[in-house]
Amino acid sequence: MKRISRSGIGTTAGFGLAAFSRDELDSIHYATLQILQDTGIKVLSENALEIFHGGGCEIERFEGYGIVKIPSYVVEECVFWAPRTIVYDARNPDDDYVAEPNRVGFTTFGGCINVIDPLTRDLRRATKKDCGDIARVCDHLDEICVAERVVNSTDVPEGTLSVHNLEAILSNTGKHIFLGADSPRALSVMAELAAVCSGGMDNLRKRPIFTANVCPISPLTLPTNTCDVIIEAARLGVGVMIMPMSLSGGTSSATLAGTLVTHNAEVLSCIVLAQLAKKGLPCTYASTSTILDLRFGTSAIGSPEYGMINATLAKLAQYYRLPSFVGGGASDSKVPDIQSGYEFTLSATMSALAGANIVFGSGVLEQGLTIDYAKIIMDAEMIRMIQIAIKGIELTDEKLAMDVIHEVGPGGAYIAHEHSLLSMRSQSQAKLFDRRSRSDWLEATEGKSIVARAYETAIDILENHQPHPLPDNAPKAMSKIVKEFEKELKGGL
Amino acid sequence: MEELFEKMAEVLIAGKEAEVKSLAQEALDKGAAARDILDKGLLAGMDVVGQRFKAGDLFIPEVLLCARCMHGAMDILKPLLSEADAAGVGTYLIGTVEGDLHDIGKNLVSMMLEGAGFQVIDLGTNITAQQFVEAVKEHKPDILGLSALLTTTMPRMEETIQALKEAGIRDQVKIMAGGAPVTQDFIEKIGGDAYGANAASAVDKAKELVA
Repeated sequence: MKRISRSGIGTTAGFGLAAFSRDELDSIHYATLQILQDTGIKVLSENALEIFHGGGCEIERFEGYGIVKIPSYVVEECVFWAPRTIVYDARNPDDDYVAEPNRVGFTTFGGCINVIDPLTRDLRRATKKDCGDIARVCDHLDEICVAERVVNSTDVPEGTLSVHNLEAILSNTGKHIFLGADSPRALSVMAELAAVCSGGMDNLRKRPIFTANVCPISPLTLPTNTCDVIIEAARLGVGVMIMPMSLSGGTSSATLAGTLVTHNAEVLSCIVLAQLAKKGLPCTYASTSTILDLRFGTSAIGSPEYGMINATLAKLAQYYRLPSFVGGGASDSKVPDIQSGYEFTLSATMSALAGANIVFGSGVLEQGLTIDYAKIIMDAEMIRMIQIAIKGIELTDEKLAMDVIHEVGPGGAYIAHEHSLLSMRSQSQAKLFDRRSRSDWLEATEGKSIVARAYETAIDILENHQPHPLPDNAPKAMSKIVKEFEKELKGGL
Repeated sequence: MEELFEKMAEVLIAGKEAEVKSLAQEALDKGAAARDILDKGLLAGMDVVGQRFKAGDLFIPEVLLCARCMHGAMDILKPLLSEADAAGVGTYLIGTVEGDLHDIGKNLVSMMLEGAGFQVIDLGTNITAQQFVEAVKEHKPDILGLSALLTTTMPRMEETIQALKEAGIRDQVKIMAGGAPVTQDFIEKIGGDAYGANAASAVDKAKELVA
């Protein structure tokens, strides 16, 4: 039988999410322009006010801050200046992550302050050691595409936290790193640390191995540090990831549509500042916005709204042709239980189907306060499942397998056919999840829960995984830089 | 009169400000004492609101609406109350510590406290230890509430308590603290008096402190 070439038919590749038409995205964009132009943004940094003013924005000054009103042409021009696609360069070049449209990768939640100890299972404050240990686990997991500053080193001197975080993470992963900076000065010290690991500042400029996270404060406020870190990042040539956390009903409108608009205005105002400070500075469109649960007063990151908001913001980032880094997979549960699994799957799947470049949220519990090792491992398993699911079902001649169907015929067996041999490895594979028969499961696991097995996996990784090696002199040089920075701050106090 | 108080509590729980006000006026016209209207009508209603909120039946905006009703009626009662009674359950001075601009938690606590009958003085965000000291001297509150969202600003809470000690006024005020990273242990360690795990529990703790 012959099947010759087909002329063009309408096809789709992969499964996606139909959230908003082009017209609807336009409506959000126009609403945002109106907010930026008429309502304005509260800016607390004097340096930033100067830059906005120089870029054609109108400034109204008050005591300690200014209201910046950004004309629509400035917004649109600046968004256009930001790079369209970004490669997140990694210390280990094999881990360079290409954020082309609709390439979907995953990473953990970031900025947690507590950890469930993998050995004692007690909840405790996270330390610098945890910051490094978790980075090492993430380095091992193929399901994690870039490294987040998962927990903060809460055991280090004030003002040096971000510098210690970066030292710990660089030492434990070769992947691109996303993390915030305590101050512009801390950011420049962080660049020194990264330079030591990249063969000098010039190399770092060519291949920046980390991105500076900055957070506007909703509603519509840019604090001094947020602005000054953006300006310093521009000077250093380090990209910025702009992540508001609007809480619908608290710090943004109780309706989700209004929340999208103010969130968008907060991100775009930072992009304007970044581009006015340095044309072409890489800007990542980010979000961890959700609802404020108006019964409990908590930020509900395990809610379906978290998935809805973040998936649509990923669509909005695509509309602006910017790389996106949005929430998906976070949980409000206090322990790595079934609630945390359900919550992970719903919002992570939504953001993935929306084509977000980086879906972040694995490993987290308790409204983003606590990280858990078992959760990171279990979520990685689910990430693999989601990545299979979003690929969709291909309808080529080879995949339709008409010849095979004829050949096997009614009542035949496919399992021994050569076609099965060729296709079998594309099936989803459960490692931690269990698909065996009950008796086999009992034999393989002794009935141990998935959570217990996940902790064991994490401990095994911690004991055995070797991250991409640092240059020989780097550990010593980093430690020296950190110590000098500590001294500098002490002297300044 | 008891019936009138019950009705007042009922319309307050339903969030009907105009009706609460007119019932308060009616009670006054019929000779009820302002203090009784406050205690048996308005605060009795707010107590039910607090219980229902805790049970998860009421949403925060509903609680705030009820609080607004109470304040509407208070405008009528205030001129007739003694200064002590007008201060309500107690005076609560609140602010977010230096270096922290996050205020949603603090605002929530403020509004809930007002609803529970506290007179709240909100200093805002980014308040230095010295500013807290000055404000305590000026307003002489029963309770001082410190808020922080960032772990990096938590040390400012301890410094504020230290500054109050140095100013010799630590014992004149009860100190509470709250915010996502704050824990009971932390409060004990820095020498505070109570910890509010959330807005509702902050109100309960505050009531205990002034009882």
